[in-house]
Amino acid sequence: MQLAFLKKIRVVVSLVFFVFTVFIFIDFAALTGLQMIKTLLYLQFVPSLLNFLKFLSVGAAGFIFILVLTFFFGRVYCSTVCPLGTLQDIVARISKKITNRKRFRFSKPLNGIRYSILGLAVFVLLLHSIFLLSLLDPYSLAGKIFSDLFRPVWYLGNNILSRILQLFDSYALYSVSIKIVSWPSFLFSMAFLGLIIFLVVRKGRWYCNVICPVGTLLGLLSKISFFRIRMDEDACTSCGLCVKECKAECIDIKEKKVDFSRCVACYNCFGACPEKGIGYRLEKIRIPGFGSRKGRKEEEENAKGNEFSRRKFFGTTLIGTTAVLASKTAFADKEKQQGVSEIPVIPPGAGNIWHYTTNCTACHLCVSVCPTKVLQPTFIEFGLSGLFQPKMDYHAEYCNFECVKCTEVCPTGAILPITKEQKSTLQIGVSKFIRNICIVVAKHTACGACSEHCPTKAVEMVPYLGTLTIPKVDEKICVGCGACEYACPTKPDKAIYVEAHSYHRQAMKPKKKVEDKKIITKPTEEFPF
Amino acid sequence: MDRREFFKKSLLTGVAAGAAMTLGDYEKLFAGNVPPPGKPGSFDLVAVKDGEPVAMFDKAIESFGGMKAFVKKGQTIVVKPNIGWDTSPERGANTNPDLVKRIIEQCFGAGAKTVYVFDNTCDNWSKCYENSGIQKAVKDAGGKIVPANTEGNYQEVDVKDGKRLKKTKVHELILSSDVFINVPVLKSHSSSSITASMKNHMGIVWDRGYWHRNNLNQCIADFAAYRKPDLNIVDAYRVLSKRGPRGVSVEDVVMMKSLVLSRDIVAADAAAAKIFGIEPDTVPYIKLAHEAGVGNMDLTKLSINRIKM
Repeated sequence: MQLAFLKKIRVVVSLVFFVFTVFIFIDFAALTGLQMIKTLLYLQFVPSLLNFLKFLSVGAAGFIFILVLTFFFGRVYCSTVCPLGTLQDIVARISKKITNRKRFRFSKPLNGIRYSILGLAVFVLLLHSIFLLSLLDPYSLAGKIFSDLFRPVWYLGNNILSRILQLFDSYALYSVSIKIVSWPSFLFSMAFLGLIIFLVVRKGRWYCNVICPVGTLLGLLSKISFFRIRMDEDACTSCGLCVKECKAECIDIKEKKVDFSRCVACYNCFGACPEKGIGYRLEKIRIPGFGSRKGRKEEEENAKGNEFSRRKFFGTTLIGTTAVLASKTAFADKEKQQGVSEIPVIPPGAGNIWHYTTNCTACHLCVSVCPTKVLQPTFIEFGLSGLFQPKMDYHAEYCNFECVKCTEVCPTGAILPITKEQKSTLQIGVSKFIRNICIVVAKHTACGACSEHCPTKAVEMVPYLGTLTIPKVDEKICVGCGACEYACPTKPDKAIYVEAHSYHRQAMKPKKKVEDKKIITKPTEEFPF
Repeated sequence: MDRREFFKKSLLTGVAAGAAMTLGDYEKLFAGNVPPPGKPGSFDLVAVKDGEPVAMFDKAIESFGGMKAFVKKGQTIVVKPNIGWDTSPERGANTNPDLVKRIIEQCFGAGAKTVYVFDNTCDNWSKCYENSGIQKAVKDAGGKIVPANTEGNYQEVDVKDGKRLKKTKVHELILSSDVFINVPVLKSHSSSSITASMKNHMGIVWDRGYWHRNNLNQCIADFAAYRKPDLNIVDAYRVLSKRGPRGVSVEDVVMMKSLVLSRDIVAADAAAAKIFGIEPDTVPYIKLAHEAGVGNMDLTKLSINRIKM
């Protein structure tokens, strides 16, 4: 069959998706427009699914397209749209170039594990927990790698280049901070990247066929797809060249069968076969139980696998439920610490902490596009199910008053779009003043950095001793942007901090005009000196 | 004969007279309100009011003998406006972009090789540069707008005679450039009552938090003694009279349409305080700097050219 050209198309499409997806995660200069980001991420399966479950809107129906595509041609998603898939392919490609170790060989499906993980992910999702999905979703894992690892490397390259240009008195480029604020997330991404490289080199797309819930789900669907990749048993000479090229390790040369549920549709085997004996075949749609004898036999085999998986399934479900319950109670156990918000501050547009933590898959796109980098990944502050979900880190930075970037890009809808106008009176938390450690009280010298930075003047300086003034918070007009907390110079604890709201509230508009009788600045006829 | 008339007449006849007398003696003779009829450049301070920023600046710099009194051919210049906040020019939180543009043009007119403009901003720097209108103004005038958001560009210096501030990290361009022109905007300030020339220095150092922790007013005065700008140009066109230094709405702005120029950073701030409507000695850092001999806040002791447009 002359289908080898499909591989070329697959490579081009996947690279286009990959390069642009990486770029939106490292693009500190905001060169990619919003529409571009939205278009690019429209087809990402898990974000689209989560978004769709909330709004049932066409705007979030990208995953349906993927399902239809899978129903026709199998897991095309895994070798084109999925950034983790392409990342693995790139690693495989490089490893092929630098090592001459034996390529892939057939391996048996680990149905027990893969169906248990899928079942568990769906189960906990029904329990309104994002746990497992946020940990295993390939897009979000790739996002974390791009945001936590690729981004600092890209920034570093930029900084070196900008420094070199400065030597020639050019300021065309500028440096960007590469400070790693969230080490747990960085280390996790590092470890995961290491693991995936190890797996790819040894076992190809092992992650996609054993762990990945999206891969398993699409695999189930590709079992009944219209077109499936099959071997032409008459043409096959059992040379095994296709097996060596099969990253999914799903070609069984002895049985001359392709396990299409594990095939990631990379089409490498098409070109590998000297007899052109492997390719897409149109299948008769077979409803379980009504197929040919051969089909029935297959089903029996599958059933055997399922029985095994059922046991595992219940076991893992029990563990999962415990984990979910544990993660849900994580907030309650914490003791209130002075100067630290009881719960992390969640970004504007997130609405409430329940909505946010059950929808965010921690892809870290918001972290990447945030112009100030106030959004930073957490570790377990949102509980176990909210691993690495970003929070507003006011020790790192503060939220720009006029910016709604994170609300626009969030692909899962954990942060919903809001306008600048809406944001200007949205209260995501309120400033709390800790009087006894304030510079003015502790040292009797002037400060006021908090009030200086406040965009609404919710933090105002009022008379204290002599000429000294001290901050006072008007909680009604505070938006919780964290400018005061960031600016507060006290160490190690801040004398002013934002206490998060679990449900975002409405703030009053700041006063348009204030009367100050003491100081009157007004134009005079003559010079005042 | 009012001051201005006197000044005008003196200008016509005063070239010879000015040349005959030494500047120091002359100043003592006319201490106080009478401006000297001397040659351009003999004033301690020039104040202009009731004009547009560009016209006021052109007029004021003439009194010092033009920009060439400060900028020599082939020199590198730093023009340091206040670009601290992500707000539009109408809000008066940042230096007027038209003024900045004109200053750069004048620098090049005097033969400057390069004019750098930067500020270590409070809000996100790229948003500040853009929304203040200053980035565009600098580019239009042919200057170099320099990001100042990287610690690597700051070098630690010893602040000699500093009472509280002994060491601080200063932007390398301040250290390497020939001329430093300080272009603050006059505003109310929640930390230091008002901000003008001396407070504007907080945008050429890296760690402002240290200043805030260690007696802010003393640190401002200490640093003013360390690095005196070659010229201070206080933009008091739109004055953020309340809720500074960021301001909340345009309602906080009063159109004062004024401009102050002085080599003396303390005098410039003293005049700015007066324009703002408060006495210079009520602003702690002005008083501290005056007492330390950084400059003179007593405006009655200075020769001032007052220009009404």
